[in-house]
Amino acid sequence: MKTLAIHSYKGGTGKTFLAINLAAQLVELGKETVLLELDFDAPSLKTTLGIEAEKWTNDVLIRGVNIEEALVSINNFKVALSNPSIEEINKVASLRKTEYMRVLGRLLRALKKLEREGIDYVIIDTSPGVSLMTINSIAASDVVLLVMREDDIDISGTKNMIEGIYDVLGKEVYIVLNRVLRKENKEKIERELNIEVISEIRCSCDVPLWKGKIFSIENRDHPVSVGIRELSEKLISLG
Amino acid sequence: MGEDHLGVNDVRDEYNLRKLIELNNRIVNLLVDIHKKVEEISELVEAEFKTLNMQMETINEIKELFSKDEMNTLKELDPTVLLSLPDYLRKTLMELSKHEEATAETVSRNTGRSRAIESLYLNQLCRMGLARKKRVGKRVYFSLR
Ligand SMILES: Nc1ncnc2c1ncn2[C@@H]1O[C@H](COP(=O)(O)OP(=O)(O)O)[C@@H](O)[C@H]1O
Ligand SMILES: [Mg+2]
Repeated sequence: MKTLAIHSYKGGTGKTFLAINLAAQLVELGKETVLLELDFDAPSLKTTLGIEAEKWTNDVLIRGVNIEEALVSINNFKVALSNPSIEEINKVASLRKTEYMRVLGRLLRALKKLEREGIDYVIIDTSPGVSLMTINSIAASDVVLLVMREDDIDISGTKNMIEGIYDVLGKEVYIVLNRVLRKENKEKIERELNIEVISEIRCSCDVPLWKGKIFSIENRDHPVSVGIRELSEKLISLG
Repeated sequence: MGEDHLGVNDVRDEYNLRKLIELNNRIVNLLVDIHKKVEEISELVEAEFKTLNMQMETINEIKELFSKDEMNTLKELDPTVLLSLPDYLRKTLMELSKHEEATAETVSRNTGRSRAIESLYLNQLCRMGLARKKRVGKRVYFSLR
């Protein structure tokens, strides 16, 4: 089983969009896939996918609920959502720092359980930046996909994060350039961050129109969908 | 008594002298042997000192590693600790975090390293204040602090 963390330094780079569509495409390519939303600060999968849940990743990681109880089926993959209620967001925000070590333990156990179930890929939709939960998500992952917006790049902040977290934890990292308009920045970013840009996803105004649906499933031949499918194939070929 | 004739006393003197020389030679040989042995011993002692010195150096290096300020003033165990640990200890700490409590045996089963090495690392984590241990009968159980 491979665990992929979808992460970025800033918010709004397209992590959630990419996480959903990557999961859908990996399933299309025959891989058993689970999507975990571990963005407790700003949960968005529930509304983005338009689904309901009874148990949440919050329950799994904070209260020790079995991961199976939080999984909801959608489009032949399974997803566990973060609870978007204000009380829960505040609850997570007020967790003691030391509690996050227990959260890591529960996350690692949940992943182990999914591996035993025969899952091939776990995609983790993380919160941006360098919070304690992010460190946990990255520590628990095998590969990090660092999502950057071509039109809004903070190289120095991103560089600090790479050196301070990814490098220290020894993680395999690839950059996904999202919302690409000009295809001019790839080499520059690769040079400055010394990380391979594994995929460039076009910017398209069609994307935000498909809330509640899985874009790359509804629009298979769209350049954005093709880009994500090729990214999935590349990830599989990496082994 | 003529000079050509050796008297009884002369014979005894000569005999004693020869004995004395013989004895002297044996003593000299013994001393040479002893000297050789002392040299051998001093070589051995020197070699021992060298290894001892090397061991002291490693011990001091380890001590230094674990007496860094950040380690000493560490009061809370949160995930940022993962970023300040050497790889081999992070692996042990992450495995330990999966269990309420665990023996070195349990940890070693999941990290794929030997029980002895995990025991060493778990004890290091305890000394750094990141883990604690308790003995129940023959077994030692470790847990996060
Ligand atoms: N390739 C793209 N082209 C156009 N819009 C995009 C693209 N990728 C994502 N978006 C839009 O950008 C916004 C932020 O994306 P989202 O996935 O929520 O970001 P994050 O999870 O990183 O905060 C959403 O409205 C999404 O529809
Ligand atoms: Mg998001």
